Amino acid sequence: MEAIRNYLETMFGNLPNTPEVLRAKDELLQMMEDKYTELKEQGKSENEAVGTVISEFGNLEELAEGLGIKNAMNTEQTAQGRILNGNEVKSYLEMCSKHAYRVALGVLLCILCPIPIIFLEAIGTAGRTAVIFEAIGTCLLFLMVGIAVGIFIYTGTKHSSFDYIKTQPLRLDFATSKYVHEQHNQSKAACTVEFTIGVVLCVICVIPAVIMDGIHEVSKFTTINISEASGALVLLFVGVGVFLIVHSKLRFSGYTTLLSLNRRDSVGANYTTSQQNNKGYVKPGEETWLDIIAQCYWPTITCIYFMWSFVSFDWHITWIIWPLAAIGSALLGFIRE
Amino acid sequence: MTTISSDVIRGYNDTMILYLLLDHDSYGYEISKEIRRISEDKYVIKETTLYSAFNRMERNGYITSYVDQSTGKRRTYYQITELGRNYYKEKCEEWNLTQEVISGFISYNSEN
Repeated sequence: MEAIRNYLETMFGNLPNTPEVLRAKDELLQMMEDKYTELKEQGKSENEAVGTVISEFGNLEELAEGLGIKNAMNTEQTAQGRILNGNEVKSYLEMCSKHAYRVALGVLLCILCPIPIIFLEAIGTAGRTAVIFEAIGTCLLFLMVGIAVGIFIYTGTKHSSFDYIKTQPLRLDFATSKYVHEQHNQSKAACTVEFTIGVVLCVICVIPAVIMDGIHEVSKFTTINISEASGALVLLFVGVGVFLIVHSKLRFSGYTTLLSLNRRDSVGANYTTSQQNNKGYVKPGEETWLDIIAQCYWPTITCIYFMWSFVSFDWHITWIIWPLAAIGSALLGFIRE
Repeated sequence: MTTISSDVIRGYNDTMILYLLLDHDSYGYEISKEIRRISEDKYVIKETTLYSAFNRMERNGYITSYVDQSTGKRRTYYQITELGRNYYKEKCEEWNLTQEVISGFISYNSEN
């Protein structure tokens, strides 16, 4: 029965969402259901029953005149483009999920990169060892930044190989949009938890540092300067917090892109997320300056972060750029819609 | 085996449906099943054809529809109106005339 429902929903997917069209769909489903049930009762197999029902369904063009959708049937069909197949959708979602991890990991590396310097400085406080440690720390810093930049470039390339989803007219059939919608809903709860933990970590980041300062005060005899090392702990908390925030926000981008493919005013838009203005796809040349800003947003933020950090060397405070950038990104997305 | 061309039968789908509604109200699948039975499997009406006939006749006032849930399954039932009965009568007369005219030009029959 599911196959018949999917067939009907896909046939109707492109038609305008009017009471007449919905009634026709409902009525046709009733008839098909009745026929299917009777065929099954006669002992027909699932495949046979579905095949017979679909082969005797007829042609939607017959309904066009009665439903006042003649224009919709002739012109929209081509304008709406081809249906994305299940494999494409799966690999796109997979890529988006990996992309979210990679970007978050890159950001994490950028935030954590001063930790080796801070830590090694805290250990080797005097003489020749201090110089060597500082050199090692600086090398590690650049290594981490290098890896982060590599990750950004790699994931950006992977991501742009799916650009056609946004620039070409495409749509989803009923079964696929139902699948995407379910996946989207399933990950919602986990995403909220992730985001909340991320924010909490950013807020409480100074607590361990304060505690370690206290320990340092009471235990003067230790050779390691705990007070200085506590700065590293702040960065660690912030790093993990920002990782969770960035990941929780990015992992949704794939779902929302796919669900916004079907035109809002068509029957196929049942699963379109409610907060979205469905603009369909972006025609080449129709990109606004907001789209351009969005494209170079994260690289720019990364540049600002490093310029500020290296000029001032205030690593203990420059991390604030990342949570601010995450808020900015959310605002930007909101304005674009 | 010869099959009925949909162009020819199109004008008479309404007649068949109205005939089945003369005695009692009915719903989509029952009507399609009856058409199949009475025509001895020679004509199977497509779902879209049936629905567009319902839609058109309802707008012309030949039939009305209501939703019935008493059998447990929600179904749309169709009922013939007075206007529909008159239309049916007209269509019957039209067919008799058509048959009379056309048969004068038919020189083969299925026994040959």
